[in-house]
Amino acid sequence: MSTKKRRLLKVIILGDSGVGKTSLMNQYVQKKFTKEYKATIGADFLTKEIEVDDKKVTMQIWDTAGQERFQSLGSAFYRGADCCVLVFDVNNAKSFDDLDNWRDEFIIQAGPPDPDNFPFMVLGNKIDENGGSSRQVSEKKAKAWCASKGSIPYFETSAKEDINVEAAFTCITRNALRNEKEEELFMPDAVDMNTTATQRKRAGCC
Amino acid sequence: MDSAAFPSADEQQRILQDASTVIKRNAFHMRKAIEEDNMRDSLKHAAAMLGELRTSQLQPQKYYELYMLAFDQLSYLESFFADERGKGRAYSELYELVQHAGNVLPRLYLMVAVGCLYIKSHEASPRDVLKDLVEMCKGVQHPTRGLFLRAYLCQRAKGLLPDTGSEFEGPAAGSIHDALDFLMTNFIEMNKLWVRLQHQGSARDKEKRERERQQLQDLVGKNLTYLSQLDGLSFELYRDQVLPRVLDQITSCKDDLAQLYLMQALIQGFPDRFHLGTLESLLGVLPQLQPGVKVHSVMAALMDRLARYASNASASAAGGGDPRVLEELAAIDAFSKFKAAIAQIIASQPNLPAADAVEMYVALLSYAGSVHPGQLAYVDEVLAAAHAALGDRGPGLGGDARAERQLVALLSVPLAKYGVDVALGLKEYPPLTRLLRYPTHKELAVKIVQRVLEAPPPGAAGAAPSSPAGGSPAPPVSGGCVISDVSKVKMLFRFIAPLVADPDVPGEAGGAADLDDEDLDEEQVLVARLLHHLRSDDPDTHFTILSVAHDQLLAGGPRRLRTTLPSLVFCGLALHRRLVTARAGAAGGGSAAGKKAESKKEAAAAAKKKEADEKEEEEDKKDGEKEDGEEGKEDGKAEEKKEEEKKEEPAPAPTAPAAPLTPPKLTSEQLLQFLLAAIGPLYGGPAGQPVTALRLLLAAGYVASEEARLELLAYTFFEEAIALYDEALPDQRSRATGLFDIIGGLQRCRVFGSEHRDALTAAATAGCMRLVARREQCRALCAAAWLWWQVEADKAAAGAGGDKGLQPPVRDGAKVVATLQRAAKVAGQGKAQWGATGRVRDAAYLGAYVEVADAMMRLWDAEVPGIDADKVQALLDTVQADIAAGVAPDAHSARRWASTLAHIASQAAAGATPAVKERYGKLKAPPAPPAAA
Repeated sequence: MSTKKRRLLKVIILGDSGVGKTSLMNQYVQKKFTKEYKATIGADFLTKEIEVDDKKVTMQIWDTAGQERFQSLGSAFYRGADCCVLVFDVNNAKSFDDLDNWRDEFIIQAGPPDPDNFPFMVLGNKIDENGGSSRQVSEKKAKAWCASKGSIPYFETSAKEDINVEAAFTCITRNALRNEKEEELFMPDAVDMNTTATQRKRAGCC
Repeated sequence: MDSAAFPSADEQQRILQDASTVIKRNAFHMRKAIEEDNMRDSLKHAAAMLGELRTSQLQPQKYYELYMLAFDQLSYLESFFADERGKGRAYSELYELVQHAGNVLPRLYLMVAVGCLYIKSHEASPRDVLKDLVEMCKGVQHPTRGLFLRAYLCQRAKGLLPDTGSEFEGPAAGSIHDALDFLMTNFIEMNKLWVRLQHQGSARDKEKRERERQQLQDLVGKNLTYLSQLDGLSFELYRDQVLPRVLDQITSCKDDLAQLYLMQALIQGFPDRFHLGTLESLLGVLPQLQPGVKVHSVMAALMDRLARYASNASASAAGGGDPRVLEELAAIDAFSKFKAAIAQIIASQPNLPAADAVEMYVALLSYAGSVHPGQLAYVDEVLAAAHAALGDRGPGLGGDARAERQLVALLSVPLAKYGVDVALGLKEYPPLTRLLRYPTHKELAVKIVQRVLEAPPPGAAGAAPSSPAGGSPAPPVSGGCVISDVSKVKMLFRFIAPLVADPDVPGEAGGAADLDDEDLDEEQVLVARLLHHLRSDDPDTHFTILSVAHDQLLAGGPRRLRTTLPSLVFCGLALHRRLVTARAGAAGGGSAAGKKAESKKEAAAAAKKKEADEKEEEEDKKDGEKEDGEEGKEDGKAEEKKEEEKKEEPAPAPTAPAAPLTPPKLTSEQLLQFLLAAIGPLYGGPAGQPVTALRLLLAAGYVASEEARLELLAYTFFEEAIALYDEALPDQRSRATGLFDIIGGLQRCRVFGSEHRDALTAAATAGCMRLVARREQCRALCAAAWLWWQVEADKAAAGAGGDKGLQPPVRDGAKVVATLQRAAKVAGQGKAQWGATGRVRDAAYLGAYVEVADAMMRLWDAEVPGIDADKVQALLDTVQADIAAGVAPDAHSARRWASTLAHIASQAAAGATPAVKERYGKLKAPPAPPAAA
């Protein structure tokens, strides 16, 4: 499609309950932060218009429920994602350990055509908490995990203090743009019944 | 296939696939029309695309996939609409235009899409458009379709609400109240649609339909998230406008599924602060819920949430957290409110499963732990309340296994949170354990004991409160905690009752009678180890603790005593050492430094002893240890002791402050009498462990002699030991070992005057002849010879008392020689026996002679008067002559003979001193055979 057209990027944020997914999104999109915990129910997104390399981009950032009981409809919204952001709380070792599960879950449910090269991002959030004294996951450990999953970019953030949030999302945007090209090829094919049929087959074996 | 409401899964997949293809095709044409700037065609294809959402053939998750597909495409249309405005087309016009769509569902989707852009453009009043849309959506009354349409509506509208401080707020645009009205109306409409869904389809597969209905819950709950995200939602607005309407909706819908879900969503979706201020309303609504609603899980969720709030607030208080949270929770007395609410729920629901009731108390307990840390009274209150709620369900909670598991979970909370030592202050704990079946309680008891044995050092347990004031610092016991308070020890025995005694309900399974010796022993070893953790720095207190433990153990019956009594006795022996030290410390009050060093040494020795004792317990049956003086072993012990002392150095000796200036009231007599009585049951009968009993008597006898210097008590212990040897030891092997133990023990004791000493020595020597095998008799006599030749006093072992109360070492060369001669006589009788039978077996008399020769040489080395080269030579000659005469020695004797000859040769060649060389050089022995054949 024409290059002057606005691009739409879909970003999914995943992670355990209470790691700060909603806070990161709110800080990035609305520059707002509240320390009050409110569980997110279901999945929902905020959009943000940005310009990258003189191109207009609409970011559709999907925030998800960390609590399993509020994910009743499943994960159909994963599909078509251009980037998946995995968030953990550096003060909570379990939330870090669970990254594996979230990543696997995303790959299974979203079924990206090339999972090994799909753009993931990892954010270690809440680095401000207690001045860093209650930290349970070191930067080194997090980076090692990211490296082991095919050099996933890693950022240490604080949604509360607005540390690294902008930088992280800029990186997310660039990674998502890298992925977006393949999507464009897909759309015109949708009318071609033959191609649809092959795609169906492929979906079947995933 | 199996659902009346929806086609089969395969069929649905096909329908979804077909519908997706239609959506994709129309989306393609729509986007092409958009490229071509053709409004008419783009609307036409958009409507056709959205028309696919009219299906009622798909279950919720499949419908959601379809919805997402269309939803993604709608965003292209939205940006097209936005661009159109730039070209001068008014939204009012567009808003009109989309209403021409033929079908109601596509029309409403398009109206929502345009309507929201209309608001965004500020061309229309948000209040009016939102009201319009939320009303128009009533046109779709099919539950699934209506829910998704309204989900789209509130999703699109959420950023356009006239929220406080937003650009869409204003006199004409509306205020936070309009925003609230919009979301509340949408919420109520969605909830109605959702609740109505349960009445569709046949009653046959209701369960499946309820599961499907459950999948839609987040669409309804989403409204609550949006409400909670409004900047203008003050606590007052929440309390006065939102909560009453939500609660009213919850209670009036009378739907189990919706009630449970919405209560959970309410609790999780709104901030803690709000719940704090509306606790009564929240709790008040619980009894009004449908009987099928799992109210306990709602209660538990609420308590857990506030508990977490409190602990986060207090944990981060240093880092800018809110210390007022705890005060606030205490001020509204949330604990009592929770407690009352739980009681009311239990009272109002007679069919509430006991497990669910207990689950609420588990949550209340962890709430109490977070909000009132260290205040045991709250914990006791919860336990008492749980007991009141469950007490009438009978023992074992009426056989309800799930409830029992929950009760164990409840009882485990204080152990984990406060540690056993603190939990022992809970007086409501034991009554609650009585509700468990005996075997379940026993499992819990095992956990408790293991915690005492392995408890992490205090402080590692996180928020564990400091122990009540006044408790003296307990001496360090590696890898465990120490219970040093008499009342706590008593309590502990109630906590672990099933490990100590049989069930008091006759006929209940799991008692000692149901276990074989091995299993029972395995279980009782835990108790035996536990005893070492019941101790006080104050000898008087420690003695009381041991007496309490003794009474408890006696109540457990003889089969348990077999395993537990030896441990108790060792504890008492260790206490005696400290008693002596404490008394010496009190007497010599001034030299604090010396005392400190002493007590440190004692502590190390006690620890060492303990360790050895524990090892011994384990090895009891293996019959491993011997009491008689094996020099090498003693050396090893001394070295280890030194090492331990070094290890202790860095930590200031915690026993030091407890070294009292007033002497302990406990006397050695009392303690030893106590031990004498404690050993009694082990002599014989069902608790009989005569081998162990003998060894304990000897250990106690040694302590009575060398530490307590109490001749009559020491005499009694030895007398009992000899009597046991005479009457109770089961077989030759243990008799021989026992006798050597007696001789070894006696040899080292120096408290006896000649009268008692002679009596004991005579008895022991006489005992030698009561062994059956001649060779054993001979060996025993050789050992007994040493009873007349005590070594110099071991200054280090004598301890603080010096030689006071001890006799000089016995040194009677004539008696030594006489005893050895008796041994030689026995060997001679053996020779006669061989002469009579001619059996090779009986040639063992040669070995007996060698035994005597060896003993003779050792005493010769000790320079006992009356032993000379001739006496040794005579024995050697006897053996040599008989072998030369053709007596074939048995294998053992041959080996022994060979090593004796080798010894003589090596001493003669390379003895430690010239005197030794000379002495052995005088012996005429045949050269040692090349190797023992």
